[in-house]
Amino acid sequence: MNLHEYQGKELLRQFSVGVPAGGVASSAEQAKAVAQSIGGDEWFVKAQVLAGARASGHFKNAPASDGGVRHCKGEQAVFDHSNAMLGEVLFTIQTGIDGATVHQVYIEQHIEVAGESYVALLVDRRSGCISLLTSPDGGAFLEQNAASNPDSVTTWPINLVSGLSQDTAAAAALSLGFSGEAASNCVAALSHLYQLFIEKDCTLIEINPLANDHQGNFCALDATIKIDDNALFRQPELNALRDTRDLRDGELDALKFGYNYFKLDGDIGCVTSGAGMAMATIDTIKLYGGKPANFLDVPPVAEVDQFVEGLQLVLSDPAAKVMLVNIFGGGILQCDLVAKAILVALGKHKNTIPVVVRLAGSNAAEGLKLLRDSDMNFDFADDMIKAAQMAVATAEDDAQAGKNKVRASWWDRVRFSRNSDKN
Amino acid sequence: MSILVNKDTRVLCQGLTGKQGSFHMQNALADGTQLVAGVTPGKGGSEHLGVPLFNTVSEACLAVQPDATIVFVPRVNAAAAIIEAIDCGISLIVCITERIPMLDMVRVKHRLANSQSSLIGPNCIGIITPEECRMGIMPSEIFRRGKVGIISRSGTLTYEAIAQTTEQQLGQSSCIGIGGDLLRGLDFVDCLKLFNDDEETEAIVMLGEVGGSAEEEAADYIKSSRYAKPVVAYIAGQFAPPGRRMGHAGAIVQYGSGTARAKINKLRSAGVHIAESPVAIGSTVARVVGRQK
Repeated sequence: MNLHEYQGKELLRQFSVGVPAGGVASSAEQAKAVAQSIGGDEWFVKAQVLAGARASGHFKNAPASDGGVRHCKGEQAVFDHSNAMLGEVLFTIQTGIDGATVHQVYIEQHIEVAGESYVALLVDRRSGCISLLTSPDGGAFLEQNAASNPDSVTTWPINLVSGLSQDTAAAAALSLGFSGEAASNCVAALSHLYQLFIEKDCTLIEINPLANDHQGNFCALDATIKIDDNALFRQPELNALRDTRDLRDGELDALKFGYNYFKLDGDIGCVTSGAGMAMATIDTIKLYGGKPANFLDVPPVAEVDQFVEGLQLVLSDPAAKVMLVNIFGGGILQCDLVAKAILVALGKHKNTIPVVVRLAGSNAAEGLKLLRDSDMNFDFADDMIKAAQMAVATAEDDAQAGKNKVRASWWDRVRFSRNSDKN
Repeated sequence: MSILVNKDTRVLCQGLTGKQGSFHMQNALADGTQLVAGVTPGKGGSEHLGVPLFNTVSEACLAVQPDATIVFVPRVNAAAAIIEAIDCGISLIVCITERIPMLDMVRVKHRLANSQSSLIGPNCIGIITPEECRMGIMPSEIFRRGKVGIISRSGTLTYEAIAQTTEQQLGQSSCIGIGGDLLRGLDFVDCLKLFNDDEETEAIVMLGEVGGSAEEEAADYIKSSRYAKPVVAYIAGQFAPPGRRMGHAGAIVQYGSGTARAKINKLRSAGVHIAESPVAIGSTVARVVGRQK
């Protein structure tokens, strides 16, 4: 689960990591009020979206605009820039082609900075350890610097049992170029970040930059924090922070059911069980020129109703012109249960779309018989390739029929008026 | 010969009395698996599925000396259950449970590193040596004892590969689901080594996915060790949108790395045969094994 910058900074405050004074706002008036309460006459207005590289991004409605992080002098500038950002769509190299809508802005005190470091904590797959990453070249050009000089990023593996040792933290502070009191403050900041990581079940904490002033005090100017979805059951306060505003139709329901589902931009609805199967199904559809409408992995369920919920996610999607059900039954999930669920789900949906079914594995024969004996029509496929080809052809036919329907109704009108002329 | 498990493997089940444990171990028993005991705290002294129940792994080990354990414990306590098994010195631990918190698995990995135990999983279908031992949830009727070793990150997609290799009359020596999580036990390289030493295995199928670098590491190993047996791979998620978690915590493409295409290219350059479609896995193995003869 991704946290917004303002949520991340609130956590940093709780764990005694320095952050500039700041507050979140949902309107330009609120933004101005936040600036006033912070004081001073210079602030940063920062778009709150769940993606990075905001400063170098651009807005959909203003391609030549200043991006998602703006330096403002005076309260009016805070008001104007907040107004310009709120409700608009921001594109950055991390938002994807849909961009991200800015629902809130974060107003932050402008502070004097002497240096910028990069600090991150994450779980390293290969070693199975939490690793601390540091680079003295923090800031906007981190990626370029790291690419041209890989040695500038140092990885410090951490032993979970003993934690982030004073020695490791001190060595990291030294590698960032700090000594004396600045080094002690840096060690303290790193220790607090580590504490946050393990107490709040983070999978990533990225502070870029961790800025220092000339007195050796540290401040996190940005915070990207991700929380382990699998640990949310034991982090109820964090669970409540999830931003669901940008979830598309069905994705919120799926979250409630615990299904992995998200929308794609095509017209072939996919129902599979097993993430690998779901990916393979999407790959196969695309190989044959089709466009999947969604990714859906229904977990192995023992009740018909539970599988019906999964089918309904696809059947309620107006973009889906055909539904492809690709199931290899085994263990808990049996094909006859899937067949029953298909019949129940189609019974509930009046405007049913064509359904391509491929059932294999446990009770496939029973499942197929149930579907054949019903009074509904299905296209049956023996394997994933044939299923994908049928679905792609059906979606193309539908698109074509859509065009033909328009032509037909025009022709009908013309014929009718000619006939009535004869009379 | 098979790898890791056979008809003599004495299997303990942690979480035997739960819904998942009961259902799958009942099927496993029917397949000839030597289930020797179950562990469910609070139910020690009673019986389930014809085997004695114990309160702790330690008590079970004293009484029945299992060689391996399969963990069906719910995710809240699953990591603790794995660690309990490691501390009792059980050499093979298979964990089926999905969605175990990441930091719990960091703890498990740390314990494993200093132990004699091997872990398969978590979030996996388990391991099967057809006709001998099933420590997992896979439907045994699709298997046929034979010559192909299967290593897979996927669940149901594995069954496709099994069905195809059965249909091709090749059969399987052993099949290991290494699971879909970022932090896991045995990985592709570990299993490739085991299959290399197994006389029964003549070819290996790797089922990979986007995310992480396990397939790339396997490619490096295959190349540097001049791996003797033919390997066929299918990699799912060629069209996975970046940044989206596709079910498996491990299957996230980030910062341009870990793409399916990158894995396919690396594997191919190591001499691995790539099945371009999920229905061509069996036929690719048949072609390759045929060529060997």
